[in-house]
Amino acid sequence: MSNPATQIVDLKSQASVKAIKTLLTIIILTSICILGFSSRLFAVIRFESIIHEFDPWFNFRATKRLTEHGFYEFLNWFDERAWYPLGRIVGGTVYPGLMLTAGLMHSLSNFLGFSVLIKDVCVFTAPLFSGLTALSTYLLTKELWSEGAGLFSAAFISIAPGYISRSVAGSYDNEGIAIFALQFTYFLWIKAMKSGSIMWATFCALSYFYMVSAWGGYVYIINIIPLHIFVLILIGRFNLRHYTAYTTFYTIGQLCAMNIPFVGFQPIRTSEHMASFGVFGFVQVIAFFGYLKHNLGQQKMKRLFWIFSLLVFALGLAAIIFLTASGIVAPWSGRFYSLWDTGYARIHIPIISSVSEHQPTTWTSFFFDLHVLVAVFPAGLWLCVQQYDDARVFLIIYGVFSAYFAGVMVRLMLTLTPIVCILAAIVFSELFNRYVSSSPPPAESEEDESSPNPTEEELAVANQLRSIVCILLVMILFMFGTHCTWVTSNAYSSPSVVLSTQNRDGSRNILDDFREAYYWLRTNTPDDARVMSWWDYGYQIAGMADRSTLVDNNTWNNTHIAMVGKAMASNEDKAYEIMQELNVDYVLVIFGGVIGYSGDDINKFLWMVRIAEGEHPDEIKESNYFTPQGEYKVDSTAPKTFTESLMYKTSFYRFGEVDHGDINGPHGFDRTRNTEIGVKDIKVRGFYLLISHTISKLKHIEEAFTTENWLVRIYKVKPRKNSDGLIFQNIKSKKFKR
Amino acid sequence: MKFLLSLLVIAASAADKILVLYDNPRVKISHGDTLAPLAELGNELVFKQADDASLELTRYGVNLYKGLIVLAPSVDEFGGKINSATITEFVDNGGNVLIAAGKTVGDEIRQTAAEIGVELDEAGTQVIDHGRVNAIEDSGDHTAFTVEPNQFIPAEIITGKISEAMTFEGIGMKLDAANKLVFPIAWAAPTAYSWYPNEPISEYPMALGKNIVLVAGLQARNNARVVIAGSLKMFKTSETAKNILLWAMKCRGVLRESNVKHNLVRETKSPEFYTIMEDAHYELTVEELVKGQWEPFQGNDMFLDFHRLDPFVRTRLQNKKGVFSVDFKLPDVYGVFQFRTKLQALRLYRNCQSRSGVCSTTPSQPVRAIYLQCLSLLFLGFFNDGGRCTDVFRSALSL
Repeated sequence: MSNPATQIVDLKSQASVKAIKTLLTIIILTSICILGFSSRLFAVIRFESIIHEFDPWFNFRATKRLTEHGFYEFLNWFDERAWYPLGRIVGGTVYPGLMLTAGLMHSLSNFLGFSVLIKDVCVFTAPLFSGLTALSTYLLTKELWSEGAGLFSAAFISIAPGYISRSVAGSYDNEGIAIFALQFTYFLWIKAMKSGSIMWATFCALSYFYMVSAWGGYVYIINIIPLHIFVLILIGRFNLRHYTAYTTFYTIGQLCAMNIPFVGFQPIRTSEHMASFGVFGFVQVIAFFGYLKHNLGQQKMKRLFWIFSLLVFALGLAAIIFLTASGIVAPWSGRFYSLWDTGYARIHIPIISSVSEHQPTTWTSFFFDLHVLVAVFPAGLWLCVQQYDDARVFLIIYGVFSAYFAGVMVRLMLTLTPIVCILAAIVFSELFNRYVSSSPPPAESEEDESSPNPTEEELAVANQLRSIVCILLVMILFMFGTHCTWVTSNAYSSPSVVLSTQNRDGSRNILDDFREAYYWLRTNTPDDARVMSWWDYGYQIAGMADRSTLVDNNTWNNTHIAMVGKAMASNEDKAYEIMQELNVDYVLVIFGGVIGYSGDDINKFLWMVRIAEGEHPDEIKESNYFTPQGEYKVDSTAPKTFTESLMYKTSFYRFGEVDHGDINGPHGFDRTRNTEIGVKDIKVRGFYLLISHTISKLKHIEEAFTTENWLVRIYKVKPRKNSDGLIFQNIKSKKFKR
Repeated sequence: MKFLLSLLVIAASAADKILVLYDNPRVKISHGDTLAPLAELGNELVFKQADDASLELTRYGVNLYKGLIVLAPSVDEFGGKINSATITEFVDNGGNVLIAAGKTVGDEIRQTAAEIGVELDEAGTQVIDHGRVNAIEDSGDHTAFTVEPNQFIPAEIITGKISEAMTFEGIGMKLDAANKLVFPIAWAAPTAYSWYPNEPISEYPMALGKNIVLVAGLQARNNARVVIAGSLKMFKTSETAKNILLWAMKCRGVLRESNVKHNLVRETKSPEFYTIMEDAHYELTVEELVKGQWEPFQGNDMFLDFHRLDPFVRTRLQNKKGVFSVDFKLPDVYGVFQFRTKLQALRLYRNCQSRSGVCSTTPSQPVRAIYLQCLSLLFLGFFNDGGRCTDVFRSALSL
């Protein structure tokens, strides 16, 4: 019945539909990218184009160094301003991918004639990459499921708070570009294992290389992909294509990875990489037996094959355990242990558990970061299990593992977000496929036979139901969008370097104390001054104040941090000895008591005590800092050890004079802890030696600078007194009185 | 401008002026011999009555004198602007002080002593030694007694060679064992005690025997020196008294460093940073003040510490006519290092422990002489301009 003319029309319309589809896809993807980019700009609009938080300041400083001194200088960089007096070999202890990316973008734009500040490049790196992440997520989902699901997943990932939290403008951190690298590597891996092409596998390895250069989370890839292969072997779907893809990926990928100085020989020496190595060996054995089987005939080989391969597997496992135990292969690092045993860190490594982002995730934060996606994600997982194939096995593994890890550590919410977006996108795409189309869904043949044809009335009801479902779905998505925007705006768009409060009339109050203090340090202290602060502020001091720090956010030396913790927890005399030994010139503390800022040093103090106790159990005891009732308080019940500690003194020095404008209210009322402080007269009284020795409360340090809202307090360590070392004779002894 | 000029004048004139305070003009004659060597070395001695209303030690925060010698034990309050606080300020500015107490001690002297960590016994008490009474000088209460050479700190750089016993008559002192900077120069014999003469002992005295310090010395962190003697009489004509006075006024036992250099072996310029395992060369010139002249230092106990929290290298510097130098291999550790030089006699003592026959050798620090010591602070990684003197690095003083 079909004449050539209608065929041509059909083809034409098919072509035009296809073209429209492509056009639509492009438009949608473009708008997703723009959406993703612009929803990350809250901080820039509200505050300014500024680097956020802590780690980004180091990355920024390193990038500046890279652009100013060139690549080789950067790789060779020994930072004598960090970890004084130990210094830090930055080139060898950093993932340079981020700095290189930003540096490249900077020089490219300058080459093209757009002169941009490196700061602005850094600020906007993460939002730019969020677009790329959306694209690679689209590609991955499209490869695994369908184009519609791909578009959904791209839209989800571009606004999911779990990812936005690490990629707002100014959050110039490794994760910002690493999630793109992660998704893109997975996409290429799926391509490679589906096609068995060496080219795709090589691309995958290169993308993996980029990931390795960008973030320590690359370990995630190098465990998930072997696991995928291993599962494929177990379910008997392993074939030559997978062999080609994995072997190519593993060899090229690991060789590349070893070129990153920070990674070095880890791929063959640490336990984190042993799984991939084991699977690599296992795959070779299987391939070898496959070859033998091919030549010798099936029956003979079958038993031999299984026995032998199990034997090899067991031997390999035993070898790995032996090598780890005997110390040839480095055991799992502490951070990885805490992934298996969530209590591990709290007991053994206080420094890891002292970081809030290493805490176990609460249920609320799953909803907070993923909203409806977390609810539909299991359904997506189920769909994958139901309609599984070689590639979708990957999605299942990825989903299950990410969900587990995200439950262990808040920080790993980040790796869960992409897979949740993908699986939720699959669900939504399936739902809409089912309910949007006007024709009834093609019922399965068995049901078709048993059930009678639907009447017209039934069809009408079905249509109505369909539209109700669609409306509900759209509403849910609408709420999801609102939630994402709200979370981004309220929770993730604060630079934390600049604080803001809202007045009753809704206007904003900017508290710029941090920069005020750092700028003071930059302009008023000698260039080689050494500033002692808790490690949280190390990167900021180095980045903004450009002064030497003792410890910083690269917490590589626990002993050194414990030393600072000990100084903060000791009384002034002992602290002074430590500070003299470390050549400290200034002490910087964060104090939130005036404005009620809860992230201040007094609230972090117990961690300092714990870390110090870990290294100096004889001198520092956590229990000495609690009241007899076992509470941690700053009021008059606070124990003497606490009130005499350097931290207490520097935080509350002169605070007793402060009244909050309330006539009846007490002086020295700490708004963060809502108590009146216990010791109010921490201040220098008297004049010289004679009296100061007996009464003065600040002996060896003096207040140098306190910011407008008292948020940052800087003290100068006085040079050793000419007479120091003289123990003052008790002039008021009985004999002298007579 | 005038102000500036006057400051300059003060600074220039302070270089060799020493203020001597007395309550009895006869001191000029009775202690003339002891003071003579100071004048011979070019110091201008300014004699003033201790209660002179025009007295002042510092002006505009600058010392007017190089040193202060108080030979006025009985003065309760000094005249003018001198009191314990200004004396302390004077010391903090680098001024040297010698105070001789006596049978009676004024409050201000007591206060000043207390501030540098020396406790003088109560007013009215004296050091009494029935065993070594100097029959010629003693008035019958056994408060004048002889001090043998072995009761002096065995540091010739302070006391010189002690050939004769000296006579002490005055008040006793006590130092705190935890006090690291102040040290005894002379102490009493085991038979001595400190109490009111001719009174029965009703409670435990402040100090007994060797714990009674007769002369105390202090070298502050800024190298200012303070000597407090319990007896004015002791400072009459004797070689030892002269030497102690010279030491206190920084006319002997003074070192200075210069030409601090460090570089790679076979090179001359200091590099911006060193690389681990390189061979480095370090040298400095040390001179000693001998009779008013700077001469190459003869000692051999100069050590170099290559320091980053702990010394990673500790080596002896070779003395070639006052130029101390050493070549050494930098440790295989990176970081910001300091070069610290230190003058310290290391002696190996052999401690045989119990019957097991385990012998251990421990270095001890019996350096009695306190020199002007020097520390040069340099950084591996980034340097300043070739070593500046930032602090005084002293050897621990043990007795």
